[in-house]
Amino acid sequence: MKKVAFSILSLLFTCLLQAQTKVFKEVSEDISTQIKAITQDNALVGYLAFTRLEKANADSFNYRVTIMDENLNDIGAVNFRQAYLDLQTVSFEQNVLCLGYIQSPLEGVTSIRNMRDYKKAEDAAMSSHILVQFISLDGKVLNTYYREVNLQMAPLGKANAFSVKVGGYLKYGMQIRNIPNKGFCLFYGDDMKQDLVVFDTRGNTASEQQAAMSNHYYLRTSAEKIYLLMKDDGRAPEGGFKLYIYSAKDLYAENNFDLRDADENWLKVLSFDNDPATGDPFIAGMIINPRRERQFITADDYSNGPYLGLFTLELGGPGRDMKANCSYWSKGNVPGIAGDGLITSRAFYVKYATAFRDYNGNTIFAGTAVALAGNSGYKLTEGVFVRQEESGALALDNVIPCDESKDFGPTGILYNLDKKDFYKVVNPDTKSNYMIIDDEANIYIYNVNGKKVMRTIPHKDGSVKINVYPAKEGHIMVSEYNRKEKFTRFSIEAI
Amino acid sequence: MLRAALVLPVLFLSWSFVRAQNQPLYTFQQLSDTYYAAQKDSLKKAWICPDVSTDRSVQKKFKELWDERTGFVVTAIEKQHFIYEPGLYQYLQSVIDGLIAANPQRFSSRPLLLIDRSPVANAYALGSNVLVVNLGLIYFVQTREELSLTIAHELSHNILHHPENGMRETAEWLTSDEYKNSMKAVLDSKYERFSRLKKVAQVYGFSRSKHQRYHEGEADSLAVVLLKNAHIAFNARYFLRLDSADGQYLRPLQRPLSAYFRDYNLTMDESWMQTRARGLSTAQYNFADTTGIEDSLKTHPDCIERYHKTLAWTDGDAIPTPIPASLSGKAARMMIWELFDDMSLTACLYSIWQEKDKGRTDEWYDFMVYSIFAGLYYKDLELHRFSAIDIKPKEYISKDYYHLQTVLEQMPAENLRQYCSVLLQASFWDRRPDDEKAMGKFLAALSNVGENAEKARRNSADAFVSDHATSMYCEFVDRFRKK
Repeated sequence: MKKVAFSILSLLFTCLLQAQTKVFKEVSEDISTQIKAITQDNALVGYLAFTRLEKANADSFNYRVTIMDENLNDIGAVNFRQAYLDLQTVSFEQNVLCLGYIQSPLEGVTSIRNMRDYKKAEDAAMSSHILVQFISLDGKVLNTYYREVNLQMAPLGKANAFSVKVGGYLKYGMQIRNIPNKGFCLFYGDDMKQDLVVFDTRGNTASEQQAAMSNHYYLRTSAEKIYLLMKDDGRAPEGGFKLYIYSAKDLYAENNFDLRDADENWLKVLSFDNDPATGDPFIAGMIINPRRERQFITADDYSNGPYLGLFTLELGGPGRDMKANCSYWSKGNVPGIAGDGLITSRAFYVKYATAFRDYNGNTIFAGTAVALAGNSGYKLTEGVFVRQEESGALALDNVIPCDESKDFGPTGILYNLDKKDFYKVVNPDTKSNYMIIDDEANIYIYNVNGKKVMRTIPHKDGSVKINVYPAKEGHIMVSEYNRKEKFTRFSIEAI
Repeated sequence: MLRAALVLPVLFLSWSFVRAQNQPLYTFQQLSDTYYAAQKDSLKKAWICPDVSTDRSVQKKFKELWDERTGFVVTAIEKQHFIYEPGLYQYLQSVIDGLIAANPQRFSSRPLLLIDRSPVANAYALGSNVLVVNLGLIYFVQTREELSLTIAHELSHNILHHPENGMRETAEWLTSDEYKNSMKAVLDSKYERFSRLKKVAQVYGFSRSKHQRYHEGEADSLAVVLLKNAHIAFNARYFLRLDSADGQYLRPLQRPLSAYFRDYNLTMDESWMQTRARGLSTAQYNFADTTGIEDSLKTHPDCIERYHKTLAWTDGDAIPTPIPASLSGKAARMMIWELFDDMSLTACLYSIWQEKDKGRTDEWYDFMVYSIFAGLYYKDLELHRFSAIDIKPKEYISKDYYHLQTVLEQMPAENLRQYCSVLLQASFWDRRPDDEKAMGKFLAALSNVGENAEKARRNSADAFVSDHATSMYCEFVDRFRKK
């Protein structure tokens, strides 16, 4: 980093670069970069840029992994050569990074013109691998783990009049989570097998276990347990969840159960996360009305009570037992909420989107207000926060003005019409919960505990398009894309 | 009578001191875009590309590089990278004139001297008899002799035509068959195109660096000759001091951080110094440094090597002349303002604390402390606090700097607002000149939010420029005016 004094101005290398624009353009077209967040205990601790620099020979590529801290400062880079890789996930524990890739001779998107091309692509998809790489913070690749997988092929559109583009994907994906003070847990699944693997921080395999068949898998870890939440679409469109609990030590299957309430009603999961106060995992969501479990698409469906109430399932931790908390508005005894879920004081239903735990032991459910408009119309209006207390009591926590949709009819499909995305941000130091509501025109940063909108940021500011994402604890990442100048600026700001 | 006789000189001295403190550092019109407007326009005409090769392609490429250099200087002038400040300029010019007078055979004309506002301790020769000295160098050097060596070294580059020769060599390289073939090979190759291209650049860079290192040795030798002829003492130790030129932010503060805040009645919560968010910045990483300059690509010989090569010429018993404190103080303030204008606010505040450690108590620094917190509050409202703090990795800064940047990052916006309001009540404002008082109000107005905020800022900027047209602060305010 030393800048050397007494220098002659160096214009010359710049000239060299400019003189050969064509060569640089062609070479740079071969270079591609993926940016991933590095997480530990479900919190963002850094960023990683995975760059495919060039094709090294017929079978392999040269790569560079650039590791950045939580402030986007580079802290180091690792170069290596490998077959075609697609980075899926990154985790961090005990000064070791664990990167999960899909390695496939399919090499991303392939054009298919005839049956022979298809067969060739299919063969390539069948001989793919997952690769797990362990990199220490002194830049050494400590270990790697390979397993053969079959990739599914999916059409991605027409390449031209005579060919179609296809890409490969791992049917059940790949997830890696750190196990505090121990190592990492990997889940991956193709059409033949769905496996869990536990590694120590040196990348040595501690244990492996096959998971049951299902349609979707969600992995969470704690220091003692591995939680694998599965969803079977065939059993109920929004329900069908089953939780498997394994020992983090040896993947011994300790428990498994369907996510249903005491009356065997299916539960819809909105959030499978960690309680910021205890670190214990929890599941929260809605209790599905068994008589209307297929009617949850339109505004009219919402007005006919597709849900009976809200639930929180605390999965427990060292010295703390598992605890379920189900609150029913369907019984008609919740002040301010009617039996069909209508918030009576404001005359709207809520399309719940997510849930999180605050530092007081409450679960806060966030969503969009589905308000009545005119005689039989609806519109999507405010951001709504409903609090479920430890006692099971439900209450409207707050309503904040957001962007309103136009009026629409009773058959309006809410999933298409609702433009709000909800992201949570936690500041463990001040024990505060924040919610980023990314709406159609504006982004709202809301302090849940203070019940106050901290900032309202318009998406468009002249020629600049602004987006906001969660960043390190207590912070947001602001991306500003300048359409005129064609550059994006990233900034990490405290809330 | 006796009492009056005592009081009057004291009052006169205090008045002179305050007046000296309130003298503007420079005027807006002394920034390069205005001050060098005439030179900027005439540069293209004046810098006629000479014939350096009978090979047409080499000559053509050389002209491209030549024009690019002219473009670089013109753009730098337009972007206010240079400044004319009479005190600094005359001091530097006197050093140059002394060297010319003692070495008339080496100079056909007086070089054009430019002062670059960069805080990096550096000077550079642009060729065509142009010499540029950074503010950072004027601040860094301790003696006139050390400054003379630096200037003599750069003048030597111009005397030996190193910049022009460098451009010619580059033009020859870029038009050579070897270079063209290697570029063609990159495009023709199926594999490792990036590595091949990198290698071409490295071969070029290595060859150029090798030449440049040789040129540096030549310039060192000639610089010593120029100094000897001018009877300016030379000391090889100056080269060793250069090794510490980049360490400004590695130097710790003399007092605990909170003490500097207390000086202004600002309460600093110690917890703001703690990096609270989890992250890799606090992890023990130790990647092999691949970002530094590899030895083969260094453009300069190591300082220790330069020291040993020139040790024999050291004038051991000479007593050096210190740089006048007023000049280095002025350079420091100009750099601090430049850091503020660039919105590098941590570096700006840290530099102020460092100046305070040197006993510099000018109330202008207090005005700047207010400006920094007002600027940071404004940046926070604009969601650009992060870029204004410019968080640096811990390896390149002192513990104090690390804590300061953490404080500026962690302190809640509400405290920033409070700081601004406390500083606005401070007594130093009574003694500040009108443009600084107006600048204080302008910065305060930046934090107004709402639908008409932008229009209000624009009006306020227009009013400032209209009332204080020559103020150096117009540079900052000008960007809020409608273009």
